[in-house]
Amino acid sequence: MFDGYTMKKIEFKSHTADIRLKIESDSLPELLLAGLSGMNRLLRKEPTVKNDGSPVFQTITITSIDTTTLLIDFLSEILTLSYIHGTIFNKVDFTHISNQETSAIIRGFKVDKFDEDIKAVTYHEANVHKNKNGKWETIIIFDI
Amino acid sequence: MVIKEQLIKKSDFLWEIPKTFRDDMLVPAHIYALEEMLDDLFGDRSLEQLINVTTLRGIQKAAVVMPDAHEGYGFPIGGIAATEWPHGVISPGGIGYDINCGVRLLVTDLMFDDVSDRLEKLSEELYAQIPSGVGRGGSIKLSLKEIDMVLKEGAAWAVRNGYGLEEDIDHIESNGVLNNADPRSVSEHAKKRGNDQLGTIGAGNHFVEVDKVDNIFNESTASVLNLHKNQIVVLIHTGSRGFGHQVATDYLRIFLSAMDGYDLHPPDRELACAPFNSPEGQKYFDAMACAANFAWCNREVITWEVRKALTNVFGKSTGPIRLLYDVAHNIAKIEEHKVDHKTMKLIVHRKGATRAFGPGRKEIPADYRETGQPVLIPGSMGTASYVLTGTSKSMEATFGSSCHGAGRRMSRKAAKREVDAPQLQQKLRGEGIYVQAGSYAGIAEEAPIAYKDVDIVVETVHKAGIAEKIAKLKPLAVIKG
Repeated sequence: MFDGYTMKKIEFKSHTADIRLKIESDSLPELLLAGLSGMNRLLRKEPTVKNDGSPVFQTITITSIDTTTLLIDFLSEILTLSYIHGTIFNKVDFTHISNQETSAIIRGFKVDKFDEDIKAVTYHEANVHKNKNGKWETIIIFDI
Repeated sequence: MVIKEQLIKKSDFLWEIPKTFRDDMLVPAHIYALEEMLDDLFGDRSLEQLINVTTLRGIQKAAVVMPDAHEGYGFPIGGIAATEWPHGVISPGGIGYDINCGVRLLVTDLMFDDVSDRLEKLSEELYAQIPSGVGRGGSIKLSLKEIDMVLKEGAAWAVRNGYGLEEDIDHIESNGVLNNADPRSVSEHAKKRGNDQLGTIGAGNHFVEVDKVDNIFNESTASVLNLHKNQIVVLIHTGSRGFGHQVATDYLRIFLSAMDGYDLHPPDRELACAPFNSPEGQKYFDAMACAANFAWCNREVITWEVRKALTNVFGKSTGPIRLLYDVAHNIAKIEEHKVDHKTMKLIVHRKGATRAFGPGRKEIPADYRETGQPVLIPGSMGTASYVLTGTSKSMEATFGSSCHGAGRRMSRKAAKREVDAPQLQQKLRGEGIYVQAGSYAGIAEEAPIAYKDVDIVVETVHKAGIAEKIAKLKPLAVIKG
């Protein structure tokens, strides 16, 4: 089970105006989850569940031109749903994933507020690849 | 990677990277900066991004960057690129995620002595009236049908619904509406993301600021603009909020998939683009216009909130609060400019750059047509802001454009590390500046130390002749998200 706040292969780096994140993982699904974990940490550092804590479910389907855009499009879609529903989505159940497509059921909880106004998850500097240690890695820049 | 020695010095304020620098450059790159400002530009990827911009299909004359430039995504912030209409490309990256982020300046009949003993109360009242901060919605909740009217009408929607004055419309760039806006080109995600955000400033570098006119550089033009020493004025800086961010996100994705079909392969994904006259290009231009109209409506509703706050504090003695001007600094416009002595229709992208049309242009309101278009340059919290006017030189050299602000030089992370926000708030208060903000982190991130020196940025565009200094403003109260 993925808890959107416990992934560890995340490094926040400096950027003149925005936020640069480096993520690394053993597999593509884990890389997507690491990106989501990093984004959730920006959205709400110490989440407080709002109302009765009833979970919010959404289904997402993403088709992209390559693996890098798949990661960014996956995060963009969840960012949008987070703002529309006032929700942090911290559980992901992939029903399908390949290098250019994914379908998933995401689950989250409504929060009292967000800590950061992320305008967008950008494609800038993003480059999903396997590093010399055989791990999947990329940079992600969030436009703040 | 370009190095300083490869720049050609064209004047004390203008540097060129020649077209021969890289094989794929279609035009040269022009950099407006004093020599001492160049180190900042070499400190990040601004110039590499500017060179990438020169490769866009249909680009004319030069890719230009202003002295407030810093690294963006795809385009550098402070960048201007004009492509040939209608076959050249349009690039969402050349406009930015915050479509029609912009600035407006309100002028009052109040003088500093009228407000000096009530500044704290004024700052509290503004903070109460204007929703600000991360994800904070406003009091206007729009249905999907109502939001379509906002997208079509822009600032006029606010006036029609009692949130603005008819006389404001004349003093907004493009009269606060781009007529090609088509709500059908916008996703439901975008509409849902923006449906409660009218009248809100958001977070980040957005603000509402009360200033006094501290110095006048050109008395006759200042008089035409209705600016006087010690007068109280209000600056508003915000954009299209989540609505515009979503439009940009949606179309970047569409363009990335479509580019292969047009044999377009820009060197950076964030430079994703499509021919302006392609179905994708046209749809994006119509959606961008929706976001631009949303932003103009947003700033008009915020103006209504500012008018309410001032009246609540000063009562009938407030007098009229007039709109001096409203400029967009993240937008693409179809404009006519001279290229090689020939008038051409161009798609002018301004990403963190202000339109600065010189005297005589028909797009400028009649009462400013002889002075040139007002150009509003906000500083960082605690430093000066400026009012300038466009010049005929800007029409020749920069597609009628100038800078848009101080320009960031330090990362948010570094600013939070280096700045003690409560101490800064106290220091500013000691200088007579009342800051109201949603969080200390927000104050630290926007501290003056995180920005370039706005005085030098403005002096550069003034001396380069692409905008003329008219007045300097000193902050008194700052409302931030």
